[in-house]
Amino acid sequence: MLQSSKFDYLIKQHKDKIFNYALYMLRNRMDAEDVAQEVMIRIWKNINKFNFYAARAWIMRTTHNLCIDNLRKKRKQFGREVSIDDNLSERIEDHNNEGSPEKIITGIMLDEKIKSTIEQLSEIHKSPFVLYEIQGFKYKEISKILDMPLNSVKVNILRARKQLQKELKFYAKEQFS
Amino acid sequence: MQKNNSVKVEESLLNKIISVAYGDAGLIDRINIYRKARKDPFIKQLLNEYKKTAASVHSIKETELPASISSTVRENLGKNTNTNPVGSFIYSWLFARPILSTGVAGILIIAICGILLFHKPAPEYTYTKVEIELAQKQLQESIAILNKVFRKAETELDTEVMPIHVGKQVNKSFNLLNDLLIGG
Repeated sequence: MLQSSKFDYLIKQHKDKIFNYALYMLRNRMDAEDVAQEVMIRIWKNINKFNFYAARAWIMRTTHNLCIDNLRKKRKQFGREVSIDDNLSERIEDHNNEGSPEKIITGIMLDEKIKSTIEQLSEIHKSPFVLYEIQGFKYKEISKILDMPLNSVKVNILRARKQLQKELKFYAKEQFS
Repeated sequence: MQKNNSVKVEESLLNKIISVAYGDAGLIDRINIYRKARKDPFIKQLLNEYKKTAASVHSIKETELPASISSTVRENLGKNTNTNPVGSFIYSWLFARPILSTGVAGILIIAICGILLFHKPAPEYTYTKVEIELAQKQLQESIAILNKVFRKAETELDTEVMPIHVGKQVNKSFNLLNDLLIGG
């Protein structure tokens, strides 16, 4: 009963974070779903082993490691890479109250560009950036999750920010020239 | 021109601009950068560009994991596909809440239980028959005393005040009037 409740609670709290992180790392929805499933299974298997208060870091570290394994395998296979975004219509509905169709499309395109630019960042920059900026983890937690010195976490986030800005500036120039 | 300007912006300053734009700079850095941005239009432009990107990054919504995935996992693990919301709630309340909110909630619960258990309304005092009889007797006595006082006052008024002090003076004044009228 307690195990089951603990599992339910952890899944409820972290399932979207796991999936999103995997989605950014793997850039493929199916692979991200596979990773999310595997993480959930591992949570269940280790439900009595980890300290509850360290669960968040444990879960994200497991997710990160599985993503890295998956990327390694994919590199060997030259695998099945498809675009992540098959829920474009949902997002058009989300943006529907934001003004004219032109604005909506521009907004979606910018969101898309930002997402794809983040996805294209190198792994070492992308992981801390996604965990910090999108998932709201603290520097210390990221350092634990990625097993990376605190300073390196900060430096990599900064580099990711600069890279993102550079890419977006280039995109803006292309769009408006 | 911009290229020259960008060369001019030092690396450390750029890092601080980025931190301010993304909202994780300290107060002093923030004040410094805003002051510099007010003076230097290039820094202002740079700050605004980074701010815009930061806002876009922070507004990215999380994609929800399809419910079918967690259901499949539950089935594979031999668990019921429906989550137990009560169990999950109790668990989250007991183990997952931050210490402070749990403490506050605990104190409130203790206070409410304490009030319910220990706060008893003052019991209504019921008088005994002897007390009631005694009170009646005392009331009768006090009424008798009052009666006596009023009777004494009445007799005094009839025998002393009216005939002697009031009647005498009235007679005197009538006599005086008679003398005046007859005499006039």
